[in-house]
Amino acid sequence: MLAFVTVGSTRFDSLISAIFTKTVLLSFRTKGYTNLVVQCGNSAFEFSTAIQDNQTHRMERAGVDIEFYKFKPSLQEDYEKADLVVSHAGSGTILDVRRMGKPMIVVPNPTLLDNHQEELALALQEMGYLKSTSVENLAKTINDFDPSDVKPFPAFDGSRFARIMDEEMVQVFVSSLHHLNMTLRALEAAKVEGDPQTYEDQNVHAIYNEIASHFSSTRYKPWPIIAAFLQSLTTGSIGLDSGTGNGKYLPLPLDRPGDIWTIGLDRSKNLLGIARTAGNANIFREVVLGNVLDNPWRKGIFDYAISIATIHHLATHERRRMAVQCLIQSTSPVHGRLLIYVWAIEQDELSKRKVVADEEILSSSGKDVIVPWVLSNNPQTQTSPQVFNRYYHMFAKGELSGLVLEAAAELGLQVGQKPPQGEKDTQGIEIVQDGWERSNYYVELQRWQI
Amino acid sequence: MIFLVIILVLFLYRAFSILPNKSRKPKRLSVGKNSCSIAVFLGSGGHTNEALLLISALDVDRYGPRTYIVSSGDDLSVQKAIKFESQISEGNKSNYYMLSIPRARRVHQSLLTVPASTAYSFIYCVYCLAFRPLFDPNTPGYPDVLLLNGPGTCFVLCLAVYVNKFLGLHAPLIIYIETFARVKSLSLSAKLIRPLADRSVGFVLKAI
Repeated sequence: MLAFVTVGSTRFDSLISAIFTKTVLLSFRTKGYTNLVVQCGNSAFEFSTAIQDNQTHRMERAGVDIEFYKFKPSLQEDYEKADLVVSHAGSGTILDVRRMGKPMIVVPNPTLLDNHQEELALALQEMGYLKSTSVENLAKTINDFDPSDVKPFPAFDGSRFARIMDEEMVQVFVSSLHHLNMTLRALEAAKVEGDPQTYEDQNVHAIYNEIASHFSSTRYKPWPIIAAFLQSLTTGSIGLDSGTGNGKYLPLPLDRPGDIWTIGLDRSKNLLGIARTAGNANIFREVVLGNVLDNPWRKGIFDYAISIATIHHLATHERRRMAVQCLIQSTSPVHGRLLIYVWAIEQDELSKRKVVADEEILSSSGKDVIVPWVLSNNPQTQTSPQVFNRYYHMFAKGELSGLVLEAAAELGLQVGQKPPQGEKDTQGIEIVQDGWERSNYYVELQRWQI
Repeated sequence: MIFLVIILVLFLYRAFSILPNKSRKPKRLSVGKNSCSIAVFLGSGGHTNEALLLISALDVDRYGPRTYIVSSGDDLSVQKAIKFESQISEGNKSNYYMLSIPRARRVHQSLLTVPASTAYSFIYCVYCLAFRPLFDPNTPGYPDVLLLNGPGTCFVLCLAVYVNKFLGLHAPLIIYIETFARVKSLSLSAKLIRPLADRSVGFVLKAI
């Protein structure tokens, strides 16, 4: 096996010197690393005067074949060949090596000013992504190191950064397209009065119909957890997207198009028009005009159901519980899977919307608010922008799972994991995950039956 | 004397008025474009890798042209940027520029000469960001965003942007991203830049 030692663009005299000691070389050999490649940078050590730039030297010591050089334009090849990487705790090296899935032992360089290598190494060791040690303990660490103890490193997820950039730059694009943008101001509290159905008609449905085309153009990226949920469904599954909006989840999963079939339901005819064809004359998706509370489906007909950013538009607690109930009922009692997303009182610090006051976050009943959308008109005509005020219920922590518990109780479902045995015909529902992501609370559910 | 006082007051007023104000909607000057030009400082080593990784998350058609700013002598970052661009352009015409700026402090440089070299670096940055786009057609013009993730030299760039703001020239939006290597404390450059950046983002380990 081959071990690769690197110190990056800096120098790390004590590490490189230690590598060439018999003790460390012997521990490499005992563990089966009979080949060693060393990128030593400008480090001063026993053989540093012997090597020229751009030259690779070879030697054998303590039964280990050693190759060493100062720098290479890219270390990629050496990383790839290596079965183990020993390096300084530079963030770049760690990212490169761990993303390639190579096991790693790092030695923070104590001689660097403003040293944060140690901090990083210890944090990553605690998470189980690598082993951190010191020059003195290197030989022992190599002896004790078991690559299978190292957890795989999470892949880079650039979506959050991309979203931040898109948010910051949205003005640039929007101004050219006369699109609607959201104003930066604190959210007004809403008071639901009169018949909730009428209230929703006026403060949700009518507005979405008006702003449909622009709304759609700002909602083009699927959220990762939802994409992963749809990705995890078995081929042949048929499901419901309740409150589909512009239908951005209907074509998922993108890498296996057509493997599952999602039917979209929405109250806005204009949004459904967009969802149906997605601006492509050759595409026709199955969409149904209706209210999420109408429950027009045969019970248990779907393999899965999702409801993304929809239930928070319902104006009373009872109606929100009803919506969850309808959604559960529409899926198979034996294997139905569900995913629900709603807007949270706890907003991302990066969200464009202003966070509500801290004491309000602690409330358990959520908050009713009005969210303005400003439809910018063509700047040349100089007309004032139109403002549309939509009603939202911002969910408090635990409120969504509370709704699920209530809905399950009403449907006579047990909540929790499926027990290994029990009375026949017992039905239940398990909360598979329950969390907060990007200003939203979500809950994933799994129905079961004995 | 009065004249000097007036100048000073006007100067302070202008300086105050261009500081980022989180409650006010920032003014964006690019109108009528479908893309946004972006400048990113490659601060060598891990900084460069992280910056390129972040750029790779963006839609390259929308965020271009891209200007890579490197410290003079940092050939490794130049090579990485060129390799990265050839990967993302997939044989299409590439849409990027390289800009090399003098270092504020070289490794092992005596502290005595640091003020002079920093001043030189600053003046060069001002020249590149504020004046060269006015007459040199071989530059990408004024970028819309400047992406920074350390180390120290990027503070000089940040200050140079403030010269643009002060003069009322098109100034890029400054986005500072704290390096992933920081898990507990902020780096010195973060402490310096945060108050000046239009947006600063800390990426906790989990997010990377």
